[in-house]
Amino acid sequence: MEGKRSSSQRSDLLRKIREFTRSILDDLSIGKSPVVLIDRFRNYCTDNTGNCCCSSDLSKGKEMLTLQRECHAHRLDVLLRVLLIVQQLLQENRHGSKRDIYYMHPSVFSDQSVVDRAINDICILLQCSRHNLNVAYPVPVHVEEVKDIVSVAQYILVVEKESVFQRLANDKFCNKNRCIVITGRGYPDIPTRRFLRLLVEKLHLHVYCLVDCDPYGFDILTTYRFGSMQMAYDAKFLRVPEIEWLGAFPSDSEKYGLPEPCLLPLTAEDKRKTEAMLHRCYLQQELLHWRLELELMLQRGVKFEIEALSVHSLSFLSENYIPSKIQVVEGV
Amino acid sequence: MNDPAHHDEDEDQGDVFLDENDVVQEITVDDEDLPDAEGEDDDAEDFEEADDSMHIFTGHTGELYTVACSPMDARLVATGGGDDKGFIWKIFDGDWAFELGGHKDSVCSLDFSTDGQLLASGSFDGLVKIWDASSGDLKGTLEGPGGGIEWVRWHPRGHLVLAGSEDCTVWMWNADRSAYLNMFSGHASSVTCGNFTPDGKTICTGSDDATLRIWNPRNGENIHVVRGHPYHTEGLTCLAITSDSTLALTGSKDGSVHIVNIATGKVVSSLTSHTDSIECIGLSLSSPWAATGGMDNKLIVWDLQHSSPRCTCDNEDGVTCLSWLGDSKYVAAGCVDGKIRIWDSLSGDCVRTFSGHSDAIQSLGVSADKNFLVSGSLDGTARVFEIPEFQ
Repeated sequence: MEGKRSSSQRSDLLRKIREFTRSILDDLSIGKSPVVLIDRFRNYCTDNTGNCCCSSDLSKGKEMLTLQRECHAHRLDVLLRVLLIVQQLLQENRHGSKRDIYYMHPSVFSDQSVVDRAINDICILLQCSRHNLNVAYPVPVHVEEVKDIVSVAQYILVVEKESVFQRLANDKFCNKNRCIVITGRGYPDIPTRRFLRLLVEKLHLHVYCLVDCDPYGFDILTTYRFGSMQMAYDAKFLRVPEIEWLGAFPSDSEKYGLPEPCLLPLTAEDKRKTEAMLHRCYLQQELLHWRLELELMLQRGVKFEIEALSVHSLSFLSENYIPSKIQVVEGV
Repeated sequence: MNDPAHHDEDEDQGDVFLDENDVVQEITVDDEDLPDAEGEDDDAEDFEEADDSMHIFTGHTGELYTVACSPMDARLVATGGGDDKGFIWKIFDGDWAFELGGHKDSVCSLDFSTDGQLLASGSFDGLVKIWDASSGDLKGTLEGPGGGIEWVRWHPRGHLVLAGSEDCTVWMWNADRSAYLNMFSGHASSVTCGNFTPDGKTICTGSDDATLRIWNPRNGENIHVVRGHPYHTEGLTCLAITSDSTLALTGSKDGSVHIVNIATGKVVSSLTSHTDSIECIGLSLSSPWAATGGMDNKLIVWDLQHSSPRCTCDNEDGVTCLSWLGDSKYVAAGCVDGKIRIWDSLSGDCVRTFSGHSDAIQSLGVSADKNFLVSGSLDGTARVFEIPEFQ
């Protein structure tokens, strides 16, 4: 029989959907404009004083939607349409992807991002996660249902790119070093982040992150550690505060003797992004090491990819760079 | 009320007192012309019309006529309807469903074989199709009847299929080999109901011609015809056979139920408490009782040993289908108003009403583990209700 917990969760959600819709109808029936309040969440801000509350999971204020503004009316229209679809998915115990939902009313939705935002708003209103709404991922991962995780690994290595993942696989990195390697293939998706969090919780291993030495690599690192702004309301289930930045650091280019051609200039966009990231509140008081490296990147005006470390030899990454970096970290 | 002095007082106190002088004109209104008062309760009912179902299947694009639950897999359900399709699907797993396509007219009857491996579908297109119950693959198509199929039933032991047709004939095939075995002719009108006896040795069929015929499956011979007085005066609608294979109970449009001894072909008893067409009949698994439902809104539970009604249950609309819940004392009645009412056959009380459907219930099924009641409705959906407390 269906798990009691998920069954009552589903009934709860269906009830909340009915109540939400009813409250809007009640207002409309007495000629009153309904007001929909949506909590706002964020994982970082530009406060320098160290007094911001971004590290807490609480909401930071509410957004007010009313039918008196046209943009709000459209947003509510989209939200209610998506809510109706979600209700059907729950009643029928079916799953649909965000893309499936988009295709149900493409002329109203106009863009996938419109659907994505509606789904986020619904998650906040109903205080649940996206998968509770039966909105599926391309790779379904119900991590709560993973029962026994056993491992002989000594640490977890998260790599940004699939190419690096393949390189490590080819070099049989996991066999020679007792570790688990994961890639999110760029900005990590929800299943990857949830799975990583589950591994950390169950196995209590160190987690190291290997990203390109560029603003986007750094942003990916912070996504693992602090969560993304899009999924800020779910951050406490998705972030891995234990994750450490293994590399590649701007300072590594000297240390490991990377030749000039490997160092690419930062574009104007890169510089803008780096400056913006330097303002994030969590780099002001803690993680000064991260801050220093980021400032160095901006100062030098260059970036490089992990693959640059293979310029000496293909196996440099697996046999030298990573093991030595880990030694340093473990030593501390 | 028009007095200014009173007006001030009204504002203060809110009460209005009418004097005879206040009456300007009297108009008599017929009560029937007045709209019904809408109290708070009515609003709540209209809006909060609860849906008691735990799972809704919406794969069909037309009315549902038939529901069957696998005797082996407690989550597996088959449904068929006016969209000419059948579906097999799983309770609680809305992502798993297979369409059973190919019929050219409504799918009106579905039955799982006793071992749960095969599913037979009967359609108004005159064909019976055999499907693999776990994959939905088509195993074979059985032809023969010249008119729509009214019902399909499996033999209690083997993979033999029996079907009754509008063209007055009854057919039997070997489903594994898609081979015709026998045809039973004799009825003068549509064969509306029929089945093997539980021991598999005899076939009983009922028809719109108001007769019950008893057949030998091996040679197609018509052993008995039950007709005339004291039997039915109008077409038969439903049939049930006792587990010891001795008695057949038949219901009819004439509102009566008769009990026939299969071996002798004689009417042994008549039950005549319904006042309109009887639509459905079912035998209790634990007691010598039968339940019948009819368009007089009644579900009657009969004591077969005394040929008398035990209790008469008033549903608010016609009862189109019924099902005993396992071997318990509870009977579910599917009604024209879309509700399913659960009756305690000992006390005659309605212990639960399941809401959710918005149109008449056409068919009911109980899952293999007796935890779920599945209903198919003219509203195009199948709904699943949890019934573990009625065991």
